[in-house]
Amino acid sequence: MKMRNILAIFVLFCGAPSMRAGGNSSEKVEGDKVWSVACQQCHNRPNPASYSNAQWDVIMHHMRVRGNLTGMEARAVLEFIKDAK
Amino acid sequence: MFTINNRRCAASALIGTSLLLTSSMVMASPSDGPISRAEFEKMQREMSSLREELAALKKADALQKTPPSDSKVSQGGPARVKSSGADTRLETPAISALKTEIKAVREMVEETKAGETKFVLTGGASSVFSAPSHGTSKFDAAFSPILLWHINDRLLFEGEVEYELNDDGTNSTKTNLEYAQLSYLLNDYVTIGAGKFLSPMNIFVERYEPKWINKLPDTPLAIYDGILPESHVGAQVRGIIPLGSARVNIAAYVSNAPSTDSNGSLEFDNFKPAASNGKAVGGRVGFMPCQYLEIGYGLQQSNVRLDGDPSATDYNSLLQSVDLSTSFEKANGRFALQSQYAWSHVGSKADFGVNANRSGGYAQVSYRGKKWSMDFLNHLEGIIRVDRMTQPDPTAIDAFNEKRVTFGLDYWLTARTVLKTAYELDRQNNGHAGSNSILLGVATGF
Repeated sequence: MKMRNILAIFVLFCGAPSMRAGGNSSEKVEGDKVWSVACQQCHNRPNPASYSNAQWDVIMHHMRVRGNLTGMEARAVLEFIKDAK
Repeated sequence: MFTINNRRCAASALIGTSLLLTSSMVMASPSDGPISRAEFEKMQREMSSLREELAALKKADALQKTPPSDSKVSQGGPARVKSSGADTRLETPAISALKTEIKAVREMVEETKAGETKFVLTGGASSVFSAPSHGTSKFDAAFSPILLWHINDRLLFEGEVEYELNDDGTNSTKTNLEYAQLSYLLNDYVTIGAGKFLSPMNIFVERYEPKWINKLPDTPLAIYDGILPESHVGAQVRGIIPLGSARVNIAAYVSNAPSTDSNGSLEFDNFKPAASNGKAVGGRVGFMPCQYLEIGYGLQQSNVRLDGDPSATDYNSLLQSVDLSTSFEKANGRFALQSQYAWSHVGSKADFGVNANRSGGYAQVSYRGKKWSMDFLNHLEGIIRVDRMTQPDPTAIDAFNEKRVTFGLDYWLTARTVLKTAYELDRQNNGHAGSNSILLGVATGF
């Protein structure tokens, strides 16, 4: 019973944001704002030219997990960084 | 310009003219008198030789006009002539050198081009000099490379190994596996991971512990290397629930349970199966009413056992933590507030002879200049931190309560390289002399 409850919570947790994602898909996330606000909650912003585009792909994947960024936010920041270089 | 091609054409014309002249001479010779058979045969041999030479030249010319079989740039050998209608060009040494250089660049790009997976080596390094008022001053150094392996757009491996100097008199180096986790992005909001990972319930280790991020040369009492775990071996799921302009960050995990010592103090090196057969369950909920503010609550519950106890008695343990952090720009700079308070409960007074309840935490305020006209000020950051650690019964377990206030001044050389200076006031009880310290450090992230 306990395991069932845990599984049910897990499914709800994983499913709810997906449904929410559909509703928010038209909302545009501005990469420069996320870059300016979210990154600086923990550390200084590095120079976009510090890494190559391929390296930024990897680093943003890492920061998406570590910094609790949504997929949309991570993609927007990545696009902003590559444009800013 | 008289090119090689022109020369060959001229040679062909010359040979043709020679043949014509020779033929006409042969044809005209009867009018000058009869020729001997030997002379006639000699002339025939010469004509035959000239015809062969002419055929060879024509063949060579035809080959020269044939376009190359592919578009690749040919390398090496003598310079080649290319002909395209009236545009006849000679491949100069400069063009040959350029083609050689292009080939080298192509080869270099091919060698460095990532395949389907991508690696990045990042991390940090630091060095600290500490001079306590009671004790020996010393230098220390650490190096923490992080390997990020982007397997595909959903899969990521991240691992960090920290190399530190042992302070146990062995003059050796200590190696710690900080984390080694494989994570999978389930969708835009949810990530699952397994391996050894930084504790999701302890926001300090997840976000502020890296030496080039931590603004002071040392770490806060109780929160780091204290009563909260720094990492777990297990599995976790974490996600984000957007609520308009607000959001909720959630993380939950199951891991090997910690063990305990005879004072009810938890040992979080929880990868020793003999010491703990149980599992710990925990997580954190962080609420962000806006992008600049996060308030969090973390907990971990588990049954723990005495390290190496053959009776294998289980004691209940509960760890809890609250945190608040914010960062915003004001007054030509950026203010940041980080705070966290944690408390633990392990077993009962009957189990350990004391109520094994510990608590402690820190609050830190910092300001860094950003928009001052004097650029030097934009590299400075001032920090004040207050932290404390309270033991259950210091006299009974030969421990002490501790309070500190630390004043720091940093100079940022780059966005990720910082020189740190700090003066730390330290107060301890139970007969332990607090030791004020001067701390100097340098840290870089790469």
